[in-house]
This record gives sequence, C-alpha cells and structure tokens, in this order.
Amino acid sequence: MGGKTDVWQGTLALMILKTLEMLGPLHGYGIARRIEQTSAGRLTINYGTVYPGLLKLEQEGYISSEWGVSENNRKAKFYRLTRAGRKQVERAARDWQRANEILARFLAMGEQSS
Amino acid sequence: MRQIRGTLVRLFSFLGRDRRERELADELESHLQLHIDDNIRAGMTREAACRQALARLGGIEQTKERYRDRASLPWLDMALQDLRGSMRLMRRTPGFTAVAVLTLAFGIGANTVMFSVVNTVLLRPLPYHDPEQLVSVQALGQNGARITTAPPDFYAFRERNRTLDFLDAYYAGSFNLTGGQEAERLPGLIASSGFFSSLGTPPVMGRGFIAADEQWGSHRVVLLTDGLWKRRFGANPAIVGDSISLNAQPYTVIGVLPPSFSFLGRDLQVFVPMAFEPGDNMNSHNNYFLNMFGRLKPGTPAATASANLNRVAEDIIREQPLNRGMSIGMSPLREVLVRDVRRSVLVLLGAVAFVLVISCANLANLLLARGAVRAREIAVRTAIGATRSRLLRQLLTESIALVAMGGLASLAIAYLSVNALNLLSQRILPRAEAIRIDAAVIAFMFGVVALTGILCGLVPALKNSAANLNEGLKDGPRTASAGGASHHLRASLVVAEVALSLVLLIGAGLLVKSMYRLLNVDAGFNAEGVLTMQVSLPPQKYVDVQLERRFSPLAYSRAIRFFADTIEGVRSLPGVRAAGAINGLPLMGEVWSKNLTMFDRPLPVNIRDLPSYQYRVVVGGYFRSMGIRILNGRAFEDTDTQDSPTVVIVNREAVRRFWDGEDPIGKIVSLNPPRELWPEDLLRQARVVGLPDDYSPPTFTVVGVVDDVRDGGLTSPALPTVYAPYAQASEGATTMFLTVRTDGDPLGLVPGIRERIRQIDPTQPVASIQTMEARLSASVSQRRTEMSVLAAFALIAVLLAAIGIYGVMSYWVTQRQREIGIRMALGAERQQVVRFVLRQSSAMVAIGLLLGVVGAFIVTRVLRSLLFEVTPTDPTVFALVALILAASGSVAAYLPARRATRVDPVVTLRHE
Repeated sequence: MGGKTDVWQGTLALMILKTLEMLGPLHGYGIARRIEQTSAGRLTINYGTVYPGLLKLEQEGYISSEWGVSENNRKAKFYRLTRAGRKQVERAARDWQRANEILARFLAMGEQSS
Repeated sequence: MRQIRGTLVRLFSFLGRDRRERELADELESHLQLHIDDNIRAGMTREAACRQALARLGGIEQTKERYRDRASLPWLDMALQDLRGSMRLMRRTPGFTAVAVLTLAFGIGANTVMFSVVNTVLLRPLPYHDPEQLVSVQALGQNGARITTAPPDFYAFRERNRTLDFLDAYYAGSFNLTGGQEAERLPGLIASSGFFSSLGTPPVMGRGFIAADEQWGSHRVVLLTDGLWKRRFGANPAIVGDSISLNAQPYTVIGVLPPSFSFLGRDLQVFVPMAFEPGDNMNSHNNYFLNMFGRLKPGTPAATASANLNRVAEDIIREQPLNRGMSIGMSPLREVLVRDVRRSVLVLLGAVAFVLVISCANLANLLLARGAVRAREIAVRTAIGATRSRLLRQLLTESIALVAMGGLASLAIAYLSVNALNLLSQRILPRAEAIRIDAAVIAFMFGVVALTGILCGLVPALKNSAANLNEGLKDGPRTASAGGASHHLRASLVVAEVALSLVLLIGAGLLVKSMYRLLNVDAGFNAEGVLTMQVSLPPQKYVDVQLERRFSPLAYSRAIRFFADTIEGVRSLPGVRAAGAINGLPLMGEVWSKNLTMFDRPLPVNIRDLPSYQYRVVVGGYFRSMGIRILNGRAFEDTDTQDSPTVVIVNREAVRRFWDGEDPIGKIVSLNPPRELWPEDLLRQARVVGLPDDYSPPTFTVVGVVDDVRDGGLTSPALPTVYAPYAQASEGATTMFLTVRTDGDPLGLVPGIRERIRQIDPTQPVASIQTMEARLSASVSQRRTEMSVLAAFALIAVLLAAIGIYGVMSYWVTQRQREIGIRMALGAERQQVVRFVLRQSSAMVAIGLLLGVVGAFIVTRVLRSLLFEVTPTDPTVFALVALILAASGSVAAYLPARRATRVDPVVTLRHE
C-alpha cells in the first residue's frame, strides 16, 4: 500500500503546484476542481485527498496559505506558490519530461525491432 | 532537504493542535459551501447539491484523519501515548516497579563496576608508546622458577641479541635525599641507559639516559618524577643541571618526567642509571638482582625473539657453566603487572556473570508473572480490535520504560561504587586510580539485561492469538492446567536462580573460611604492640668500600656503631620493653638468599649444590621484641661483638632441612662458600683486590634455634633461615628495620625514636613507619578484598533469588486462590494451608539446591589457588550455605503463603 500512495502523492503534489502556477492563488476546492477538469475526467479523486497534500506542501515550504474571501463572498483559505515552490514546479516538470523522453525511446526501440 | 523541513514541522506539531483542528473544520465547511454554491448554480436542488458535494468530498472524518496523520508524526504520537500509559502502569504497581528497577540496578550497575575493574586491570594497555611491543624478559632457573639476572649476563644479552630494539634492566633502590629540608628516603629505580627510550616516554624537561651514563664516574645523574619535582623542589623550572645530594653523594638532575609517567604501578620518585665501579662484586656472576624487559623489533614475533635470546643464553652457559639450566621466558610486559591479581580478578568476573544471569532470570520472572496477570486485559483488547502489532508496540514501550528506569538507577549505583572503590582500593589492585566506567561496558550489561526485559515483556502479546481468545476472556482464575506450562517455566527460572546463588554463596563461604584460617595461623611472632620502621644508611657514608671489597669485617664498623647506638637510645625510651633490628622483617618475602656451607659433612662438588637459606642479620633484642620463641640454646647477647667468637642462630625449618631434625648446637657453618668452591672469576677478583691467597670466609658456630617465622606471607611455608649478629656478619646490610616492643601505643614512640636517631646522625631519615599489626593486616588485604567483594555479590544473588521465589509463589497463590478457598471452607487450618504452599516452594528450592551443590562441586575447583587450608568441597561450608538458602526460600515463600490464608474463603468462592 505504501508504494502506490507515495507515487500518487508525488503526482498530486505536482498537479497542485502546477495548478497554482497557472491560476495563481486558489482555495482547496478550486484546486481539486481544476485538477479534475484538467485530467479531462480520467481521474476521479475524492476532493478530500487534496487537503493532506496541501498540508504536506505547506510543511515543506512550497506553498503558503492565508484566509481570504472567494468570488461569491465565502470565507476560504487561499494557497499560493512560494519562490521555492515555483522552482520546484520547473524542476519537477523537467524531470517528468526527461523521464518521458527516455521511456518513449525504449518503447520506440521495441517497436522498431519487431 | 525540504523533507527535513517538513519533518521538523511535524515534530513540533503539538504546538497549536487545537487551532489546526478548528481551521481544518472551517476549511472543510467552506469547501462544502463553495461546492454547494457551484452545484446550485449548475442547476441542482439544494438537497442534491449538498448530497453530491458531500459525496465528492469523500468522507469528512476520513479526510480529517488523513490530515491529522500528515500534520504530526503518528508513530511519535502513539509512542508518547504508550509511554504515558507505561508510566501510569508503573505508578499503579509500585512494588513490582521497585523490585524490577532494583534488580536492574544491581544486575547492571554492580556488574558494570566489577567489569570495569577487570577491564582496567587486565585489559587496558600500558601507558607507553606502542605497549604491545614491550615484553618482559624473564630469566628462569633450572626448575623453571623465575630468577633475577646478574649484570654480566644482562650485558651479554643486550649486546648479542638480534631481535630486540632495546633490552633494559632495572632494580629497586632507595636513596636518602638530604640538604635543604628534612632528610627524606626516596624509593627509586636503577636502570640501564635505554630504559626510557624503550618505553618511549621522554622526559618533559631535560634528557633521558644515554649510553655514557652507564660509565662509572659519569653515572651520578638523576631523573626526577613530576611528583617529587613539585613537592620537594617547588616545580623549579631551572632544576635541570642542579646538584642534589643522594646517599651523601652529589647527583646532577638531568630531567623531569611527565606527570603521567608510572612504571608497573610502583611507587618511584627517582631514576638513576645503572653503573658499577670496576671490580665491584655486584657486577659479577655471584649476584643476581636484575629484572629485564625489552622492546621487540617491529615485525618480530615474541616467539622468534624468545628463541633468539635462548640461543644467546646457551652461549652464555657455555662460557659460564655456573649458569647451567638457565633459560629465558618472554611474556607481554603487561602481565608482570597483573600476575598476582589475575586469578582473583577472574573469579570475581565469574561472580559478575552469575549475578548478571540471576538478574536476567529475576527480571524475566517478574515480567512473565505480570504478563500472565494481564493476559485477560490483552484478550479483551484483542477482542475489541487491537492489532497484534499495536499490542506489541505498547508492551514494548512498557518494557523499554521499565528498563530505562532501571538503567538510570544502575548508572547511579555504578557511579557511586566506582568513586568508593577508587578511594578504598588504591593499594590492592595495581593502577586502581585508573578505574573508569567504560561506556562499552555499560552498554553491554545494559544490552543483555534490556534484551531479556524486552523479550519477556513481549511474551504475553505473543502468546495470545485468536485461538485462545475465548480462553482468555473467561471469567475467574484459570484452571491448573492452563497455567501449568507458564508456572513450570517460571519455576525453572527460580530453580536456576537458587542454584546459581548457591554456587556464589559457597564460593564466598569458602573464602571466608580461608580468611578465618589464615588469621589464626601461627605466624611465629607476636605482632601486638610492635613498631617497625626502615632505616637505610647511605653506603658511601657508613661503609668503607675498599675494606668491603676485601671482605674485611671492619668495613661496616660505622654502620655497626650507628645501629648499636640507636638500639641503645631506643631502649632507654619510656615504655619500651625490647628493641632490635633486622635486615628483613617477616612477611617481606625472600629478602636475601644465600648458600650455606656445613662442615659436619663432605663439601659438595659444585658451588651450585650448596643449599640456599635466608640470610638475616640481627641487632640487639630482635627476637625478644618480636616475641619469637627461642626453642634451644640462646639468643644473641651484647657480648656477641666483632671480637668475640662468631655465632649464628638457625630456625626450626633449617634444622629440619639441613640437619634432619638433629640438634645443631655446636655445629660449624659458613655463610658464604669456602675458597675450595670458588669459581674462576671470583678467585681472579680476590687476587685483584689484594686478598691473601689463603683467605676463606669465616666460619660460625650454631648457638641457638628459634621458632619459624612466616617470611613470604601467612600462606607461604617457612624458609630455612640463619641469623647472624650484625656486628659479626654484617655483609651488605645497610637497610635495616627497627623493631620496638612497647606497652602502650607503638606509634606514640615515633617522635622519641626520631629524636634518638637525629642525635646520632641528623641527616639520617627513617621511612616506612608502621606497626607490625598493620603490616600483618596489609599482607592479607588483597584476600580480604576478594572475600568481601565475593560475599557482597553472593548476598545480592541470594536477595535476588529470594525475590524470585517470592514472586513465583505470590503468583502461584493467586492462581490457586480458588483451591485454597475450597480447602479452607472444608475446614483446613491456617497452618495446613501455609504448609501446603510451602511444600510447593520447597520443591523448587530443593531442586535448586541440588543442582547448585552439583554445580558448586565442579566450579569451586577454580578457587583452589585462592583458598588456604580449606578444600573446595568443604562440607561445613556447603551445609551451612544450603541451610541459609533454604531458610531464605522459606521466608520468601512464607509471606504469600500467609497472605493466602488471610483471604476470606467465602469471598474467593463467590468470585467464581
């Protein structure tokens, strides 16, 4: 059970950071909604899972939080990227990209030879 | 790195926990509101909107739970929770906690101290450079006995060996330091020039010895120890080059040694180089007094060096047939230091192991008992849904908490004990000041006991599985069969404890009996009211060296005068009943060995075949002052002077050995070998110093027989001894011991005696002032320590065993509560019930005693060399000890037995 959760936590963290980078400061509900939309319905997550993820990112210093007011005048806790968070997004994105390229070559190799 | 930040935040999460909970609740509520708003805007009804939002959130409690887990370190939380529970439990059962902690404290603490002692004494390396390369080079005689070496042989070994970087020799000497303050006698070492280079300990000031220092004429240089330099010379930084007066001769100070310097645990203040005047008889094959040690060449094993030296020895023997039978033994230098105490320390180490095992057994017993009691609680919790790992974690925390407390207590005990030991045992064990608690030792002891504690603490959780869940939940005490297996285990542990305690106690008992026998031994003298002190005359002042070399009796005239005057002066002091002097007190060992020539039988062929005897010179009323009985003939009188007929007195052992018990009065002997037996180099020397060609040592007539005196110590048999009057045969004795018998307190005479001596020679110090009783006591002090420590260990072991018995029987009684209740309801008397319980415990104790006796038979063999006139299987000791243990066991079992009868049988049966 541990391994699967860790991987999931990792991708979720990246998704949260990327969302905040694209959309600016946002509350937890908004982030969860956005992740679901971006994955075009391929991911059905419990919205609740986003909160532990947000806490972890905050503990590690990638995001910061503060209470504010939403568009429809609801009190909500907003999260924003810190400078470290911004750097992390770029780095993580680059790593993913590289991993994808290498894997793509392997898979392509297999297809060519066969 | 970010992760560390995260972990740290989680670590301190206990701050602001409430605020966090509230915020999360707020945040989730706001989340739902936003979602509901969106849903409503998308067209859902309010009801549907709420439902859908809640569903998509995925369980509020779950989210909160996961959030909480992320917010703090869950395992830490659980551990703290367990810890708090453990502390509560310990407070609730103070008796159990106290016993367990004490068991741990003694098991670990006392043992650590003992082991630290052993570690320091036996295992620590010597404080020299590369100490593993240092070896003791021991000359061995014909029968393999250790002998000292003659200087010419040492020089030959040093020059001819090829496997040692250094070979050095040393012997002890004492020096009278005069000038400035009061005269002081300094113990010192006379050593060959490579001594300090060999050890690798250069002086902090000045220089060490060089080869040129061994030349007679340039040999009057001296190295001071740091202590002496500070004490006597005020830490004078310009001391190097100064001249001080030792034995009335000027010596130049060439250096000061570092404060940490010590040599084989000896008390030494000065070091001078070894040098002999040309023609000095000391530097001949007639005089053996050197000890040797060396440093192996790097990469040379000791065996090779030993073989090489033995080859050199063979060469030497060929050149000097007198050395026939000599060989060389080599051992690490460290062993010289511990030779005497090794055996006793190993025995004590055995005691340590025993107590450790007993402690572990006790701890195991306690924890198993408690585990059995809590079986029900654990069954209930398992039924409710606690996982096995959670239970194990909790029990583990409890065990660790208990063991930790015990560990702290043991540290306290260890620290206190080591301080006490360091104060008490300075003289008994070498390098006793260096005892420190080694962290590794504590870790080891702690580890062993902790492991036991933790494993036993976990047993109840391990034993319970779903299968016996039903059994565990049953009400009321278990039936005999269910508790049987665990009872047997615990009973076996107690049996083992009893057996081990018995062995320890028997060992201690044997030592105690030895001590008793030892102190009742007839030492041959009466130490009561006798004062002794050492007077070392500087040879340069009191002996005419030229005359001495020619064996002239006039050589010692000044010394004779000095001692005669001193004894007379002392005799006139009030309260003095008798006064005398001798060159070696009883209990000092083989002070001076020579070879005796008897003229009532043909001379042996070889000088080596002359029997050896102990040579003693006596002044004044020595025998009367020491209370030594005259068995035959007479004692020395004032009429035995330099000019009167030469006489000697022998002891009973000499009569037995040399004359087969025949009356020796009137027989003629010679204290030194007659001319006919002299070897070549002695004849040559005699010619060099100008002795007439017909000179032969004087003969003596035996005029008395005295009782034997224990020379080597109370345990050593008496040696054949020949006493001569100082005035008639005072060869070489400038160090004498005054003996004064008085009516009152012996130490009260000291100022008076000092004054008398000062009147005769103001620069003459005295040293080693002690009552004879103190010397006697000191000679057995090592044994006394062994005995006391072993007895202490044995008592601890018995105590622990008794606690073990109490624990087991206590639990057994609780188990049998129902049965006892029935018995009493059916009319059993209190006494009968008590007897019923005691029968159980007696079975355990009896088996334990039996095993223990068998074990003791085997083990006490090891003690044989430490015992005195007591066999390792002494029946009295065995019987007495068994009785003590049986009694302790009965008392320990009696308490729970009595408790069993106190409970109202009606209550017990109702509890069913």
